[in-house]
Amino acid sequence: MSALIETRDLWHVYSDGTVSLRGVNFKAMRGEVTVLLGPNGAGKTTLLLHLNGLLKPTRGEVLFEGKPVSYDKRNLTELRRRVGFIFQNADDQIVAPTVWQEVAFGPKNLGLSDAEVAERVREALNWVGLEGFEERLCNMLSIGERQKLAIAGVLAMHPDVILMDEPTASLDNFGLNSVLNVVRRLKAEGKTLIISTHDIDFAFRVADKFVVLHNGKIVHNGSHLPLETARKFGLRMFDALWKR
Amino acid sequence: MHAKKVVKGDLRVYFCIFSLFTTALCPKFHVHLASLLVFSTLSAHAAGLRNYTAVLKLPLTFFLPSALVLTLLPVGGGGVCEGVLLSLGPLCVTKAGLNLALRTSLRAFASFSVLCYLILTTSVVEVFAALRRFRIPRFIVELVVFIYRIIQILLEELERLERAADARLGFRSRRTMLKTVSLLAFSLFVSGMRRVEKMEQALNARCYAGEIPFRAEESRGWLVVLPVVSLLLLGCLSPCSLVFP
Repeated sequence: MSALIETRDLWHVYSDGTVSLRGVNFKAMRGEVTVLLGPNGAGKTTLLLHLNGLLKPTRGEVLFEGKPVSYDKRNLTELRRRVGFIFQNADDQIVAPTVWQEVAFGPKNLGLSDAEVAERVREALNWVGLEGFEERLCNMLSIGERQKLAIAGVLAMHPDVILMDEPTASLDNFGLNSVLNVVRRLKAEGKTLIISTHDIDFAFRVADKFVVLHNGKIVHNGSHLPLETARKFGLRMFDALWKR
Repeated sequence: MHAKKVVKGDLRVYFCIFSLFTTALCPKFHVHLASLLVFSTLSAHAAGLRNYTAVLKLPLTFFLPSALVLTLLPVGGGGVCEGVLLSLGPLCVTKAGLNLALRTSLRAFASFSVLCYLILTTSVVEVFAALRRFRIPRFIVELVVFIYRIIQILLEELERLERAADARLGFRSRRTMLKTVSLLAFSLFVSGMRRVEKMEQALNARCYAGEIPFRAEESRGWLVVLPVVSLLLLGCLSPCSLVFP
């Protein structure tokens, strides 16, 4: 089985000289949930930004369906149509004043007709449980509702791959379960998911594959994650339960 | 918007704009009175009497002083007070001045009541969506939508910064407040720039191509619009005019 999206010898150096990724060889298989783990600053978000074409590699390449990504406008548009990115902070993702406009934004940019856009918006809002919210102002939504809106905004584009950057950060247990349901439903629909988190509990409940990043390198890659490896690389664990 | 809308879709915007121009430009007293009554009723129905009167409070702060000044103006020219009702030293309240003040205030209130109905029932985005038919350049519409969103973002950031400063006694005294406000202004600028970068990423991540989607709502409410528009037009075009007592 070949990878749907992958990187080869990926390096990224920010303009201030910070080396964020050091020769990362990453693969995500079609239909799988790949969880990126690692402490803060490990390079998880940087890697995700490369997979959607929002960052260009300093060295190395990103491949989608076996073909290297080229950074001209047409190819980037096609990549971003197939690979959706849900930001860590929903506020960073919301660009429109009202809920309807926010969800319609992506489909509109794909050149769909007004009728198709309206249908996709209706579908996406129903999917996340925000039907009836169409005319609400985005800044009047709660954090959980904004999170759902961010998901709906990406789902409306019908991507094949969904990148989620720390989707459980700042959520309570109800929010966490809501995200779990979303991930499971998306997987059941055949989507490929790549999720970054440092929440082991969440990772264990959704992952088909664990990839651990540390200092810009992959230090573990497999379908199992030994707890000692997790502890060694600073991942948040249910220590309270362990100590009992 | 949670307002009750008897007129829906783009029709509401066109209705308000037409009524506003008619009310503001027509010199007839009965048109202003009709406009005030109709749109006050519509506004109170849409958003509740309480919300309507809350919105009215702001213009009152300048309508009333303006009316006072007009009352004291020596109408008729030459600086001479004719038909004096009340004398206040060098100033005098005349019948003509009072008439002018009342008529101007009524016109201003009537125009504002139309605007009020628009404000209480329609978002900025909906107004510009309706105005696209008049071939407003796309970049202007785009700008307005983004500015509207950016205002929301800035207000949220400001609230966060204010709360953080308040938690550490940043507004304890006038002097402290001045220092805090200057700090917050700088922080707001910096965090605003950061949010703009994120917004650019968010736009690119969803293939932004320069077009903003607008929700199409069917225009309804002709049963309200047609009688009101007819009333205003007839009032403007009629040869007679109700004279202000």
